[in-house]
Amino acid sequence: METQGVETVFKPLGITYEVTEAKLDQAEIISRMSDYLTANRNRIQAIIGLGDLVTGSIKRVFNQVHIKPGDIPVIGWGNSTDTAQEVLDSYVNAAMWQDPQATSYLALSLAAMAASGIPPGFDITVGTLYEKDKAATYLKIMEGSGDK
Amino acid sequence: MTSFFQNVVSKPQFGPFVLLICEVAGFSACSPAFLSPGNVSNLLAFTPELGMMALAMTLLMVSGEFDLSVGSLFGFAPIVMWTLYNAHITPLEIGFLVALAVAVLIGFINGWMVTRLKIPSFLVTLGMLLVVRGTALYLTSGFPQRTWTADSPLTRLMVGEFTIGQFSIHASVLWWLLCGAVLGYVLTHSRAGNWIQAAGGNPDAARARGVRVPFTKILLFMLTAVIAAYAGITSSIRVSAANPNSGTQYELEIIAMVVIGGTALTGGRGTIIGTVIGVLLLRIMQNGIVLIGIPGLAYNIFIGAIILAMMALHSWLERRHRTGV
Repeated sequence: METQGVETVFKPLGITYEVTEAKLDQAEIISRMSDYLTANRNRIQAIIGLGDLVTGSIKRVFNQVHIKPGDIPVIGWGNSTDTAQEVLDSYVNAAMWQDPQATSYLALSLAAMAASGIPPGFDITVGTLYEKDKAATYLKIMEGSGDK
Repeated sequence: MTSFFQNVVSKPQFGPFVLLICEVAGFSACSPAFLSPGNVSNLLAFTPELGMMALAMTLLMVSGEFDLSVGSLFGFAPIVMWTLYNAHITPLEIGFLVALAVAVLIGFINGWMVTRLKIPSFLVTLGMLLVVRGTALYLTSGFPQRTWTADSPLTRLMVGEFTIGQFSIHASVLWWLLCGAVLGYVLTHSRAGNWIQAAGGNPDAARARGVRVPFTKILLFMLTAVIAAYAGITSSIRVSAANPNSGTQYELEIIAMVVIGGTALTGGRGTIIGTVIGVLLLRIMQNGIVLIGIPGLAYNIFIGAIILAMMALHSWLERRHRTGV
């Protein structure tokens, strides 16, 4: 789904892209991303992290291959403390917060409406893209301390 | 001079060594970045963590057994250590020792079930893989453990980084080489090494000659488990992350490294230097195919195909070697 989404946006604009698998282990993710950046540094204009582990590894990868924060624009999933911290530190430009409770509760409410014969007919937004100015809010939420 | 050359060529690890030279030469020719300091540093960052597990696995496989639970222990041990530390239950160093002790216990259970209950190591360690992975997921509710705030002499000792220009190396490389030297000595120059090879080559004959086969195997299961735990903790400190899914499928990759290095799957034969070459062969291949521009999603196809090709070539070289050609 995610790669299809990338294609529907990029293809009409003539933007070339490559999707690469990163695995589930952070050490291997960092190793593969570092290899890829070493090989393709001059061709990479931007990075989209399709997964929290990937986006949350950007700082470690950039440090390993000696890329300064901001040299390559990065966006991606942002439901991890690592990513929120990377946004604050300018390694990641923007990250996607998807509220876990809203995603499940509101979707079930919609399903319950549909089951009881009320067609929803509308979408519910359960996430937002956050940048440096709002990253501290989401970092606090994920650390369990709330934004107070 | 001729006898020296014949001696070198007759070594079982000569075939993999030739493959390694060809691989390095090939990737160097195809990608100027391959031998760059940055890429060599990347390559050497992750290699010791898998390499350590492969060294211990070599001894276990020479004794005729193998352990499928090493990948799950690689993920589980850091979870134990960081959970204890983050919950302020123990200092980091004590958490480290507790994680290693848990690994020793798991290794003992594996060894005891294989040698006393006579259950094949494939089944025992497959079951243990699921138990250990499941425990890691249960303990963490599936979430990674935080490791950022830890700063201890232990972390610097295990993975401290030395940088010269663009080239950087972690202390884990030195520990890997030291571990290789010690285990290589044990396997080839000690009575324990004779026991290990005898236990894998002909267990009945070994028993008849007084070798304590079950005891030897239990110790090797414990060694394999504790080194897998150590490697996992090393990795978690280096990447500042402890994820319950870490190490998934590493067991198969490690067995492939050991077999490519010349260790027989049936036991009785294998060398540490061969395994080091096998580790380098596979890791360099994984690095090199990215550098030469293999498409990202086709990565596993190439890795699998190249492992098969290398095994076939290795087998052919060994058959030629045995027939004296």
